Amino acid sequence: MRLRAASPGAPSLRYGAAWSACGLLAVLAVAWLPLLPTLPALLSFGGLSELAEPRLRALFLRTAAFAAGSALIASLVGAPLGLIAARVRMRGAEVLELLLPLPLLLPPLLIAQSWHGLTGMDGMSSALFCLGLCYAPLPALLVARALARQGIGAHQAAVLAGGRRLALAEMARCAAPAAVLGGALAFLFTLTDFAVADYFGAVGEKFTVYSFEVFTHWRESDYRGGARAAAPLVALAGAVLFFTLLWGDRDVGGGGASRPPRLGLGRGNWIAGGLGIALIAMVLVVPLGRVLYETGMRGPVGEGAWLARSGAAFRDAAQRGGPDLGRSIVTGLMAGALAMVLAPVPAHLLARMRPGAARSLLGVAIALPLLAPAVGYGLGAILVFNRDLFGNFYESRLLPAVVLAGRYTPLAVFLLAERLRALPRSGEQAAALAGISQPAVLWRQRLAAQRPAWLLAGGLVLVFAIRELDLAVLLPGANRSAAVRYYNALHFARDNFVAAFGAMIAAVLFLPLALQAAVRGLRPATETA
Amino acid sequence: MSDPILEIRGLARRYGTRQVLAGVDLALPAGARLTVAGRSGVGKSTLLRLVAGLESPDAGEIRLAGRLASRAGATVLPPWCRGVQMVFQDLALWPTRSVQRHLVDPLRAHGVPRAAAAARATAMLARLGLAALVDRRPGRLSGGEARRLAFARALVLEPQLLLLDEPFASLDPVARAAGFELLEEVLAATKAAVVMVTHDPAEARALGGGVAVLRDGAISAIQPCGELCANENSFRTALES
Amino acid sequence: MRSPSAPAILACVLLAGLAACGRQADLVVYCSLDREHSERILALFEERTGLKVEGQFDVERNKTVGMVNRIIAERDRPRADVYWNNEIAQTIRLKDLGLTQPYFSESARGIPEDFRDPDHHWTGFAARARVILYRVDLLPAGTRPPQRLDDLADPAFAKSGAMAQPLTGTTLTHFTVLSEQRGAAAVLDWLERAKAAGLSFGGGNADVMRRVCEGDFVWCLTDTDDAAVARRNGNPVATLHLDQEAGGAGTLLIPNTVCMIAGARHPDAARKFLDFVLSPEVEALLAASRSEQVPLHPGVVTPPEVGLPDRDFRAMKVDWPAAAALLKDRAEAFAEVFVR
Repeated sequence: MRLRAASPGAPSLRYGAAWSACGLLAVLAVAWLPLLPTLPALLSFGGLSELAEPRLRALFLRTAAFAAGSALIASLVGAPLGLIAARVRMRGAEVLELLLPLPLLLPPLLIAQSWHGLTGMDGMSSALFCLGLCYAPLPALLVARALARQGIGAHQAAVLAGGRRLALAEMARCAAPAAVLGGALAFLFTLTDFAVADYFGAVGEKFTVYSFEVFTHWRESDYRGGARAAAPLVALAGAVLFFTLLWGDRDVGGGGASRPPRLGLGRGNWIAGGLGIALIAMVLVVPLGRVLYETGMRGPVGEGAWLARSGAAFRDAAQRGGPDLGRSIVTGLMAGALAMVLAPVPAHLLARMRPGAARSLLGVAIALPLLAPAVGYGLGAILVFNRDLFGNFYESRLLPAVVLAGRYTPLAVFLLAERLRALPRSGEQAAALAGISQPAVLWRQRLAAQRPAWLLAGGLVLVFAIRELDLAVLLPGANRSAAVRYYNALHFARDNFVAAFGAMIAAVLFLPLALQAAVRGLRPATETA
Repeated sequence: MSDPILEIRGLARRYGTRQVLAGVDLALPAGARLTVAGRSGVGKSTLLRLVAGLESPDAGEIRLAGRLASRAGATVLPPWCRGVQMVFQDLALWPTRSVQRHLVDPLRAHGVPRAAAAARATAMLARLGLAALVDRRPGRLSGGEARRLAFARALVLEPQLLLLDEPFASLDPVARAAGFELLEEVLAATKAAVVMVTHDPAEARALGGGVAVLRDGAISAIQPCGELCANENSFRTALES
Repeated sequence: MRSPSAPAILACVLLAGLAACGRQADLVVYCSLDREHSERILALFEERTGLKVEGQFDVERNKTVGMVNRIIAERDRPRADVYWNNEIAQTIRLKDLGLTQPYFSESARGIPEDFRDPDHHWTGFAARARVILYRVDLLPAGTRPPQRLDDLADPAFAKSGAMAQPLTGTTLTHFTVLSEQRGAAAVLDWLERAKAAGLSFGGGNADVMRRVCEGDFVWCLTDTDDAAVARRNGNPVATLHLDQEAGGAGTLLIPNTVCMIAGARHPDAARKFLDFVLSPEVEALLAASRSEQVPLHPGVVTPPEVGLPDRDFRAMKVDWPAAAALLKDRAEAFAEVFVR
C-alpha cells in the first residue's frame, strides 16, 4: 500500500471513522458469526436465573473461588518471575526473559500430567497449583512488558532518591495493573478448563467444576442449553475482564521508546537469581523434562536402553503424527495470517479510545468469542457455515482457519493495542495534517513501527490454533490435526509415543517465539545502578 | 582547605562505537554553581548521570566530598548514598504516587521515621507552594506545579550537590524567571552546590557562577558566566569554537 | 520498514488454503473408536477397495461425543456417510432422532441378535467388557478383588478402589443398563452407598486405570481395552469378570456400533464399508490390536489374552433400546449426585 494523500475535500478524519467502522465490522463478522446461534442464550438472563438452584449456585461459587485461587497463584508466581526476568541485573536474565512465554504454549493437561507423574499429587489443591503454574506466564509476560516500558527517568529518580527499596516499590506500582490483568486472564482460562480439574479429581477429595455442567448439555447436543448453562460463566468472565480493563487503564507512566535499565540488587541478586530459576523450572523445565524423560520410558515403541526407546518413539511420532502436525501448522499459519489482517483495526481503535467504560466494553465485546465455550463456538460454526450458500467452504481447510482466527483474534487485538498505545500520537497527527489517509498511516507507519509485535500477534494465534482441541474435533477441515492425534493417543495410553509427540508439538509451538527471538537477537544487559 | 564537593578526573564514556565523553576533568567547591553548556548530543546529560551514579564510567574517576564515588567500570558509592539529587529534564515524577508521597517515600527509604518524614515533606511542600495539592497525583498537576514537585523531591533529602538537567527548557520566559526565583530561594536555605546543563545562555545567566563548555567529549576551562553569557552570539561562539 | 499489505496476506491465506485442498473423499466416516485402532481399519479398506476414505476422529477428553454432536448439528446437510461409534447408546439415540438409515449387511449375520437393531439401522461388533482391573502385587495376601458389582459398595473393598463417574462413556451406559434392570432408585442408592463406603470416582475409565498402574488404588472398574493397555505397558495387573457366580447378572459387554447416516452422500461406498467393518476379519484385527476388543462373531481367532463370552465368562443380557431410552434421564440424575 502506498502513502496516498487524501483528495481535496475528503476529510481524512471522517474517512477514518468509516474505514474504522468497516474494519471493526469485518472482525465482528468473522469472530461473532459462529456465536450467533448461541448468542441469545449465551447472553440470556435465563442462564443466570438457573443459579437460583442451590446445587448449581454452590458449584458456580466454588468454581469462581477455584479460578480465583488459580489466578492468585499465577500472579504470585508470575509477577516476581516477570520482574526478575525483565529488570533485575543478573547473569542469564535475558535467557530467563526469553523463556517466559514458553510454558503458556504447553497444553495445561500435559503440565498437570507431568507434575502428577513426578509427585503423585492429587485433589483440588493440586489442580489449583497446576493451573496456577500453567497460567503464571500471563502475569509474568505482562509484568515484564509493563516494566520494560517504565519511564527511565522515573526509575532513575527512584534509585537516586530512595535506593533499591524505592526503585523496587516503584516497579511494583508500575507492574501492578499488568499483574492484575494477567491474574484476570488466568482466572478466565481456569474458569473454562475442566480437563485439569477432571484429571486431578479422581483421587482423594473429589471435586467438579461448573464447566462440566456446561459440558453435560453439549453431550446431549443441546447447544442452546449448553449456551444457557454457560451464561453465568460468560457473564462472570466478561465482568472480570471489564473491570480489569477499566482498572488497567490507570496511568502508570512510561511508554518511552527505550527500555529502562536493570536494577542491581547487591547480595539480593543471588536470591532473585535462585528464585527466577526455581520459578522457571516449576513452570517449564520440570514439565518439559518429565515429558522428555517419558519418551524413553516403557511403552509400545522401541526396546533396549532409554536412548534407544526415546529415539524410536520420536521416529514413530514423526511417522504417525508428522502429517497431522503439518496440517495443523498450515491451518495455524492461515489463522495467524488472517488474524494479522483482522486485528490491526480494532487494536488501533482500542489504543486510541479514551480510557473508560466504553473502551472496556468494546474490549469485552471483542473478547466474547474467547469467553464463550469452545464447543458452543464450534457447534455454532457448523450451524452457520454448513449450508449450500457456502458451497465447499464448510469442508475446506479455510473454514477452520477462519473460525480459529475468529476465536483467537482477540488475543492478537489486545497484544497489538497495547503496543500501538505506546506509540506517540504526534506521528499520526502529523500524517493527518499531511493528508495521508488513516489506513495508510496504520499499515505503513504504525504497524511498521510495531512489526515485531504484529508478527507476534499472528504467531500467538498460530500457536493457540495448533493447541486448540474442541474446534479441531468439530470442524471437518481441522479434524486430522496434531491436537486430535495427541489427545486421542493420550486417552489410549500415556506411553512413549504420546510423550514424543507431545515434545514435538511443544517444539513446533515454541518455534514462532524462537524465530522472533532470533530475529530480534538477545538484548544485551543494560548497565546501571 | 576542604575537599571539593565534586571532583572529576579523566572521565570517559562510550555508547557502542560512539565516544561521548573522553577525558573530562572538573572540580567544584562546596556551594558553588556551575553551568555545563554544550550543543545537543555532546554528553551533558550523560555527565550528570555519571555524577549521580546512574551509570558507570569507562575510564576516570569521580570523587564526592573527597570520597571515591565511581571509577572505571564501577559505581563505588551507590546513587542513593552520594548526597546527590537530580531534577530530570522530563521531571520523572511517579505517576501513581501522590504529591505528599513523592517526598515521604524517599525520606522513609533513607530511614527517616514516619512522623518526621511527614513533617519534613509538609514543610518542603509548603515552602514550594504545593501545600494544597498533597493528595494529587502528577497527572492532575499543572506544568509549573509538576516542576515544583520535582524540585521539592530533590531538595527534601537535603543534597550537597543538586544536578539540574535542563529543568526549565520548555518554559516561557516568565515561568522560567519564576522557576529561577524558586531555585534561588531553596538554594539559599540548603547551600547545596549546583550543576546545571543547558544550551541556553539565559538559563546560564540566571543561575550565575561559572560556565564549563562541553565539546568533543571534554570540558574547556571554567569561565565566569558574566561575559560568556552576556549575549547570544558570544555564547554560541563558545559552544561552536 | 516495509510491511506487507492486507490484500497480500489474504492472498497468501487463500493460496495456502487452495494448496491444502486435495482429492475429494469417496467416503466420510465419523469415528469415535480410538484413532490408534480405527485408522488401520480405514487404511485397509482403502487398500482393498481403492476408495479414498476421510476419517474424522473423536477424543476422550470431550467424552467422545464430538462426532454425535456433529452429526446432529449437520442434520440439515449431512456430511458423514457412516458413523462408527465405540459404544451403543448414542447410536440408538441417533436412530431415534431419525438421523440413520437402514442397511442389513450380510457380514452381520453371525452377530448375536442382542447386538443388532431389529430395523437394521445399526449393528454391534467388537465389544468391550466392563471388568475389574487389579494390581496383583498390591493385593494383600489372602484377599481377593471384588467379585460382584455389589462388592464395590462394600466398605471392605471400596476404600482401595475406584471407578469413573457415571456421567459419560461406557460407565454412563453401564449404570443406565443397571437402572433399566434394577430400577433407577436402586442404582442411585447404590451410588450413594458406594460414595459413603469410600469408593473413589474419577473422570474416566482411562484415568482410573492409570491410577491403578501408578499404585494409587489396588483395583478399578474399567473397560477391557484400558485393562489391556495397563497390562501391555508392563504393569503387574490382572483382570476379573464381575458377577460370574451362579445366578449372577454376568459381565456387561458394550459393543462398537456402526450405522449409515440418513442422507449419506456416498451410500454405495457406505454399504461397502459396513460390509467390511462388520466382517469377522475386522473383528479379528481389533481383537489382535492393542485394545483387545471382544469379537461377537463366533469362531473368530483371538489372542489368548482376549476373554470370549460363553467360553471365558458369562455376558449380561441387555435390552439395549430400553436402556438407551433411559440414557438422558439417567445422565441428569447422576449429574445431580456427582456434579455438585
